[in-house]
Amino acid sequence: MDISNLINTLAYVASDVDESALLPLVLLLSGFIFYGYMYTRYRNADKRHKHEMETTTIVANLVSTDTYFKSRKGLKNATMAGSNHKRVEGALNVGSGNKLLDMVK
Amino acid sequence: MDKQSTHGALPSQGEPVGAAPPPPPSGAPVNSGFAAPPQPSPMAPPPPGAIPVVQNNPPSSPPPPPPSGAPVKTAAMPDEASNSPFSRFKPPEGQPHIFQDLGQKDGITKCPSCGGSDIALNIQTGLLRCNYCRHEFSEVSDGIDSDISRLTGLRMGMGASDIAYDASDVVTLKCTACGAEVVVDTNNAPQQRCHWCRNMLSLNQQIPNGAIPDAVMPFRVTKEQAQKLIEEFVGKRRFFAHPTFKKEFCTQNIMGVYLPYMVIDVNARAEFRGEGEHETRRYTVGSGNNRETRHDADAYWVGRDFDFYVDDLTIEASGDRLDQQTTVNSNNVINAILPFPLKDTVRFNANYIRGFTSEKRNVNRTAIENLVSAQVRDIARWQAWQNATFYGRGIRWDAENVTIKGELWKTVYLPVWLYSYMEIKSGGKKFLHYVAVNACTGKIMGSVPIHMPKLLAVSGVVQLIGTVLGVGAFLLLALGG
Repeated sequence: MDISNLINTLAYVASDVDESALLPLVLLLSGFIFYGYMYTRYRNADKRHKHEMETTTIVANLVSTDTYFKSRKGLKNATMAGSNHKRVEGALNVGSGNKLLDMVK
Repeated sequence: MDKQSTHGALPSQGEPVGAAPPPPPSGAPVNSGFAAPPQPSPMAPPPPGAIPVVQNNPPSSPPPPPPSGAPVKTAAMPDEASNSPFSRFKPPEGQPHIFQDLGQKDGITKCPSCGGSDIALNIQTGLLRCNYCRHEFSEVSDGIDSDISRLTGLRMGMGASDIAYDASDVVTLKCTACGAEVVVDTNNAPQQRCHWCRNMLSLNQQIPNGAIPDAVMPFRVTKEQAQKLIEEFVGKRRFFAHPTFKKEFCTQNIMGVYLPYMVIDVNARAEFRGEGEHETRRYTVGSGNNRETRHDADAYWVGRDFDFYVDDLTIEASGDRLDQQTTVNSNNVINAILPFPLKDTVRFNANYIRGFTSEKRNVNRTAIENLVSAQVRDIARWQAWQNATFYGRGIRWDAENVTIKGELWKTVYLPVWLYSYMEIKSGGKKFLHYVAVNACTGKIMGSVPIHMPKLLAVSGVVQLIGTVLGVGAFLLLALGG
């Protein structure tokens, strides 16, 4: 079980839920949340070396382009649809882990 | 040798724009926090349904033709010290540059003070100590590193070169003190005491079976310190721990292990194109139970082009440790104690690993190069985000292009204190739990076997109470609305 995925899913659901209904929703899921939290705390299956941010890296010769093209009004979600700026491909224990193991010849 | 991996379609400089972004309307918010762009390559969103492509290009500029016969030592790079003990060999075409430590010698390693050969690591100081005269000294730095921004092509330490799987694990050394021939079984340790004169003989030069790395990081955390850390870690997880585990838990049998890793420096360039959203307003609509939060945002075409230099990307060089499927093992917790302060590694000397166990490398560079490419792309993506946090609602990168211009690989033994516990589950299924301590930084991570009936029972009680309270809260809301 990946608790971070569970939290992200809950956060995504919560972002689309009436705020006043959030507490009752959490209470109704409390047993599952407690189980997921404790399982993760003991097994730590979601833990890994966060290579993307823990590896020393120097950036040079940065060229930035930022061009406004549109305003969007009345969006329901707190995050951009389809955003992938924090996507991680090279983790062996989460997400695409199995795929990466297949890559290992 | 440039290696390129591309996700999505990335237009080159001057390429016609497929869907040029419209000019900003008058009065549109000005970009904040960004340097005015010198308008690099135009951005084109990828065609609908475009499939990400990972592409490894062949070398764009092949190395010069090989010399006839054996490899020839070439002039040292300008940034290499002229008295460097390392040689750089011009390789055959398509082969990497290999660095070999010519100063490294097999046989008796002598104490510089008294000449004794009974030497071992003093964990308290991280130095080698002569067991006769107590003199302490250190090996030199591994010396393979150079300016990453100037790395080109593929370079490797001798210890990272491909393993010859038919190479013997047994090596015969001639004792330089008495002339006896001494057999060293590298499966056990790269050292053996001469059975005649009792001098300790060491294998320090790299051999084709992967047993000798380029560098080693000495233990700094003592066994007592590691025991305390492990006891504290497990102590915080006792309530739902399996009763058999609680009964058998004992840190006396923790092992000091040197695990093999590939450490890679990368000189690369990244180009990202996509769309980002910056929130301009957050507000609530509706009333009573129908209240909802809404967001207004400005959308931008975003581009980030940069060079980046990755220092000491660390990957397991053991097939067993690379398997991190958490449903069948807990190797991920050993991965989680990275990183190590790799600037403190020293040239390999077998005396550093004396008294500890070590795992032999059994993975070649080619086996993990795709994994390394994936991790380098992750690093590039993270760095692109660090330079575009203005887009708090997120960025959707439609095109990613990461080109590796140069890479340097070496193998390193890194020190880990390991507690292991084999859990026998119902049906005889086994699961090996580890608690691992980084023996340099003291960072700890572990897996503790869970008493599932107890956890399920308590979760059930929590669920029952939560259901009652949740239904009550919903009723209150309904009545209040």
